[in-house]
Amino acid sequence: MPALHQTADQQGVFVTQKFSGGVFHADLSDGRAGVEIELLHSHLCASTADGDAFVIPYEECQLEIGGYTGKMLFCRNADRSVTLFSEDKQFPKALALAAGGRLDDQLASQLSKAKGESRRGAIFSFGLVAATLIVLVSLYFGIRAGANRVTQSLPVSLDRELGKAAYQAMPKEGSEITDPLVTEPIQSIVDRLADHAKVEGMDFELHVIDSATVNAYCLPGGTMVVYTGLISAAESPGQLAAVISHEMAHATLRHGLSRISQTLGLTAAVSLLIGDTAGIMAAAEEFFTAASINSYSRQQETEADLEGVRMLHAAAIDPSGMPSLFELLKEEHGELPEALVWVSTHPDHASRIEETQNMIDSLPAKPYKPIDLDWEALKSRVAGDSTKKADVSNSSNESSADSTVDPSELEQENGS
Amino acid sequence: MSVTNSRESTGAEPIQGTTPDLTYEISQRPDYAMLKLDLKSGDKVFAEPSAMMSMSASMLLKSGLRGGLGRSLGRMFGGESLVVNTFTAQAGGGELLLAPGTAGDIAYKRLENSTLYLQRGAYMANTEGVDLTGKWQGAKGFFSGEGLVLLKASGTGDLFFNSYGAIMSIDVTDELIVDTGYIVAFEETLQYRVTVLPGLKRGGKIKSLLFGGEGLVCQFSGQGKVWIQTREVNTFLNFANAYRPTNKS
Repeated sequence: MPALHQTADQQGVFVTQKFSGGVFHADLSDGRAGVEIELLHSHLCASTADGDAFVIPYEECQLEIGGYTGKMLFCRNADRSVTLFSEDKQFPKALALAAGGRLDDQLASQLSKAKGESRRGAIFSFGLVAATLIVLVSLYFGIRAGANRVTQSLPVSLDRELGKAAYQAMPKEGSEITDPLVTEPIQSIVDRLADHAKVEGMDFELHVIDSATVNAYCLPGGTMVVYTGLISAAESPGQLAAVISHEMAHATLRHGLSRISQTLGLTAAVSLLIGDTAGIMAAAEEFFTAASINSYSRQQETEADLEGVRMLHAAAIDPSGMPSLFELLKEEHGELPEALVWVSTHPDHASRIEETQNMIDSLPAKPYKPIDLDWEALKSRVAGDSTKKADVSNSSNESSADSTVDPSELEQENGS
Repeated sequence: MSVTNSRESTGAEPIQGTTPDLTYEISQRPDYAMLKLDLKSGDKVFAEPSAMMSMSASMLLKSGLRGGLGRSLGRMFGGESLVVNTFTAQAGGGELLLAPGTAGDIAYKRLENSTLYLQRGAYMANTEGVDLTGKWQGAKGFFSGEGLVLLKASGTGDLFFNSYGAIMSIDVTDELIVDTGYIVAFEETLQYRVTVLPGLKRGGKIKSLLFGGEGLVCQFSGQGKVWIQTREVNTFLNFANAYRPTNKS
């Protein structure tokens, strides 16, 4: 702390400042001592608490800036036997003033050196922080990308085990329909599409569930579930085939596994990378059971739309059912406000219509074979079944039976 | 101008002294050193938790955060405990025996309105008037292996700190290079820079970093004292790790 006080000098009134600091000298015990430094008109004078005094004339002063903080000013005498130093912020300025210009050059060069060092330090620190961030971010995405790739290289049998385990554990929203009049037409669509699946070894196994919920999903490995509510809501066999192809595409593109590895985070990604699938299996069962089988990312939905169109086309089924399905959804449900669409994982209907239509337009023209089923018979059979069971499900499970075509459920179906 | 840095090694003799606050003796040096403090009535000593070996019945022990939350957190980041034990001598004075956590030496430093920077875990005890805080050192700390925060002891009073292995103090008058793992403490008048062994060509630097085991070093410049230890914990741990029993499953 500079203690400011005025003393009367021979030449008049002088402002003398005292700075706390230290001195290095060989005669001192420990080689150094704390001092009060006074700036007199021809020299620096430092006095210790024990009464020792050290003097350095300004002409002899060799200045250096250093110390741990890089802000300490050292003054040495000609033979460097005495070193005075202070970290007081006012000290350099006061010293320059008291020395009357004799030390300005030295001080300026030391200050610029110190500034250079601190700037280098700042750049270095900044560089370090930036480098750390880059490494972390690239590690994160690298592992994620790596995990995705590894996911694709895992055996399909893993998907199958996963899907079967998940299906066992999942709550069913109604009883399974075994009536061949209902299952066979749908099975025929699945069979036609399955021949053109992107992945070998998928074993598509159809379950038709009697529930008003407008939904269908395909678990990893090919366990396919269609709710009767979807059959009632669809306007044509083409639309039904479109939903089925979209769901099968999720399975053949193995979105379930990618989703798990992403949702479970890096730990899962790493264990996938090193090939430890036991942990993943346990976690995945939990994951699918817990709910979100139907929550895929926007990108995965778009991929499934396009892969669905490809499968339909390859199976010689008219893929225009896909865009027409979205038209139906658009009419039923309307568009989400634009701002919401971006946060929602579902691509908006207009862009889904556009993208699937574009893809259809780009495909080579091909004679489409109609889907071989009695649509009206199927619908009436399903309608009969649902009404028969409606009372039962109404009392046992409110959520699944509270409406036949709930727009929000339709939207859910759209996403899955 | 080249000046040899003078070293001061005290061998195995006990170190004794009387300070304005207390009388101390560091015995059993250097490998399993212990600190004996004689306090007059009303004298206070602050020490890291679990350092106390024994004390007179007349000593009063209180533990708690000292210097507010900011200071305490600073200490914590500096590799010390949040809590500091306060020993106060009651009527008639008393004796206090303290021991550090690691096998090693204890050093004493009287601060006279000066500052000392301590390596992580080096702090042991101090008397009233010494202020302990953490000092953020950023990138330097990242590379020095000393932690991002150094413990800063400043003020006027007695400070005791410990090492792993024996302690040797070196008076730096120009420049000194110390391997980062061996630094125990240094005075505030020294500037230091963390570098790969200077003086080598770039290829040589990388080679020595990868294969020489002399990775990063601290290059001290200016004038002041550095305390270094004669063993380094990490090197020892690497050595001992090979003999660690493992569970076979």
